[in-house]
Amino acid sequence: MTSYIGSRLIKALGILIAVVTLNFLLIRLVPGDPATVIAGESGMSDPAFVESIRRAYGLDQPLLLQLKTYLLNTFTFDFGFSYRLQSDVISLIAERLPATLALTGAAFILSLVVGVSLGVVAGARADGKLDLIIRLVTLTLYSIPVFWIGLMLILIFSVKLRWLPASGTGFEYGDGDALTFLRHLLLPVVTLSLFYVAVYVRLARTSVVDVLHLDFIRTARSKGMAGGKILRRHVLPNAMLPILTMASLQAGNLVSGSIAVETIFAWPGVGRLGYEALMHRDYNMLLGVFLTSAAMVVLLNIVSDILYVLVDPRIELVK
Amino acid sequence: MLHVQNLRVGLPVGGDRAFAVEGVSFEVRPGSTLCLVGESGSGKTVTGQTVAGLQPKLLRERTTGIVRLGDVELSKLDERQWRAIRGREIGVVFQEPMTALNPIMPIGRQIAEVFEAHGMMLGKAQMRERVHGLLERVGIRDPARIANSYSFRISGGQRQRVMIAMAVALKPKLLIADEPTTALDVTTQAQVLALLADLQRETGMGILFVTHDFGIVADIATDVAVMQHGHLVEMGSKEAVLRTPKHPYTAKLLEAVPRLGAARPCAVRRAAPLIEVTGMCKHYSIAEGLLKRRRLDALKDVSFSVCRGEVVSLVGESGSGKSTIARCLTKLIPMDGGTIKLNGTNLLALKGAELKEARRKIQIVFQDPYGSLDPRQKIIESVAAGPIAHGTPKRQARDEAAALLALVGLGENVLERFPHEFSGGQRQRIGIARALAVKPDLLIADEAVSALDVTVQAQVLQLLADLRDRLGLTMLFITHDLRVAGQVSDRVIVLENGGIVEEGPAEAVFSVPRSAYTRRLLDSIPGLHVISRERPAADCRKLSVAS
Repeated sequence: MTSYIGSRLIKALGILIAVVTLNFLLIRLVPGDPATVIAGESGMSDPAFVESIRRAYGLDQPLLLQLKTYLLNTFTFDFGFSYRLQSDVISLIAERLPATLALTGAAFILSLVVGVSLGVVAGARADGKLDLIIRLVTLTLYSIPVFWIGLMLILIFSVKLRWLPASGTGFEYGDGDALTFLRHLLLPVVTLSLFYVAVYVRLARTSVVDVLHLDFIRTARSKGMAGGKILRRHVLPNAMLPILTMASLQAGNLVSGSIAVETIFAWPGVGRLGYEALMHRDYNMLLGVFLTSAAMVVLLNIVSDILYVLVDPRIELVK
Repeated sequence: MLHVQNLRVGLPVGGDRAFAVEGVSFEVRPGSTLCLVGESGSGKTVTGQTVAGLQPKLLRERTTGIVRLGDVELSKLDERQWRAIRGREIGVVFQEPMTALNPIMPIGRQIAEVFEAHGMMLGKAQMRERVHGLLERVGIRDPARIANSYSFRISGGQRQRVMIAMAVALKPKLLIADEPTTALDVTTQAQVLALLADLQRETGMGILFVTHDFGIVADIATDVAVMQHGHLVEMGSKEAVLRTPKHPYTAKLLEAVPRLGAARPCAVRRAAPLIEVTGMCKHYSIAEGLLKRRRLDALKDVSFSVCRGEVVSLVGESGSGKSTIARCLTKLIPMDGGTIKLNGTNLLALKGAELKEARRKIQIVFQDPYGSLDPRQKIIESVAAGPIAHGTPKRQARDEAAALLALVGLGENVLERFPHEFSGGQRQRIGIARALAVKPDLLIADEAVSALDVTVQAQVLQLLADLRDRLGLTMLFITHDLRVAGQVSDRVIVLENGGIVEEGPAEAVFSVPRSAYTRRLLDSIPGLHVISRERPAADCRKLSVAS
């Protein structure tokens, strides 16, 4: 097991180096020069000033040399300096990460629990009334854009009913408490979850319907077991694999946040950080966000592969 | 004890007939075994399921008639009351133990569930003791290890023993066994049947045994009920039904049971070898636990040859290496040692076009007629695909395919149909046509008739015999059923644990077996002594293509 994890981690390192290299080169292909953007932001367009900026940030070096410097630096967790925000990329990400994790983590748990529960209920009563209602509702959620749901929730719960705040975390002025934070968290979490709830419902339903047709369910009935127990002990564990796959995909997005939701609710998370970096050609910032999110995806892939084996003993780990 | 009276199970609108079962009445006495015999689609399985209240929901609403166990009128129970009966009063053993067990739950826990389902909340140690005791009772030598294993890590025989342990855990009055040995090889089948008889003597339970094999009937039945198209056509004591069948259908089924003594009398002289195998070895690496692996020798230094025009059977239990030989011969898997010569050329040294040509010369018919045809391809395309891949013009390939399908007894009106529109036997005919389409020198039939009903099996065997005589086909026939081997082959090779233990002319091997293993295989054939007496050996020259 440990040797398996070791070999996977070494491979993961290779993948991350490839990802960083590719991102670095792709970003340089985008037309536009960061030096002119930085100069423009400070209101200067003097070619000599632009040139000095280029030199100061090492942008005058050959591309491959820049890549080499960047790669070596990332090994020491130095993701560079953000031209725009005048701060270390790593500390900016670290600053925004808690807000993002609170949002995405809560949405992850909520959508998984609600989605799988509803999906199992629908699957167990396939083609019944309840199943029809659940399927209709989730199909609707699945097809509505996230930003529209967010705006509608704000309109109803913040503007009309005035029950919940529409933006921020409640900590902006340093005086928030846990309850305020939770009240701020609720709308963005629900907005972000609804899409995934729909995905999990559909996945869990199909999976449960498939398992219910398998022979060992009939065996369980022939023992005299009750329906609920059969569902818990035999159906659910066997229906978990596709759900686990989807959950690991969703979990991969945990640190990159959601640009749409964070923007609508003015949530100070990594998603917005990346979006703004993109708009302002803040290359180092952007690469930092990409790298963090890629690392998370790779790591969670390893975790989910190990979880597969724990859920289903038929799956083998092969180095 | 069990009374079934005028049982009728309707099929949903659009089914191939109005009733799955109609007007069926029978009874099972304590300590006796009633065999429900019939071919697939005869309604025998639905009858068994209905007695246990396990028929699909769609059929439950369409079930009428009286089913009574002791004083309990089963047909009037609701689901809650049924739960108290199932497992406690009625135990069920299903056909395919691999899929009937939950693959991701340890065996021991699945057995413990029987006790829990009936309110016996035992302590952990006590439960373990009960489970281990049960496993020991059904003949599992290492109960502690098996209880902690998953179903896919134990053998087919062990799996079926586990199923039986679950079914008899609470000493039910009635055991319903639905083709419980069909998926097992002959020696394991004999052991499982002996175990059931033993348990019956001990507990006095009645057994409703669903089967298509009259050999088994001859071994274990007290009474026999024969079903056809949902109707009970004949019922009586075993002796009466086997000796003097009254209904023509029963007589037809009995006639179709393959006989050991039917080895073909027109044996060919040994010509030059078409295929020569020397020192064939193959091993697999098997996972044990999360990362441990173990080496399994599937074939150990196997050498044999097959002459032109000869039919050679490879027989043995599952795991003896029969199918591995077929896969190595067709180069579906690489071998770990040895040589294969086809017409004197080393098959392993061939590459590119030569290898492709060699592959054409060796064709295989697989066991599962359902899984081995592309469900989205019309059968004419399936059959013509091989020749087209080997360079035959499309039009010519299709014409030849149509002729071949006619040869195997499928008329022109079926050419444009898809596989799901055919029965199992028809699909196996398509499989044979597909293999013959590229004009092979050697045809390998890997358990090609094992999945078929006995009458269909007889037809396909006749077809193969006929094709052999007409086309001078050389065949390697792989089977676990010695009766089938006896009927088709000139020579028999007996395999055990990846090695050859006996080889010789079919008649000699079956009448005077030299190895103890062959004797054991022969002794395990169900109903051998009852059934083989009753019909003289068939002459292969009389066989013709039957559709």
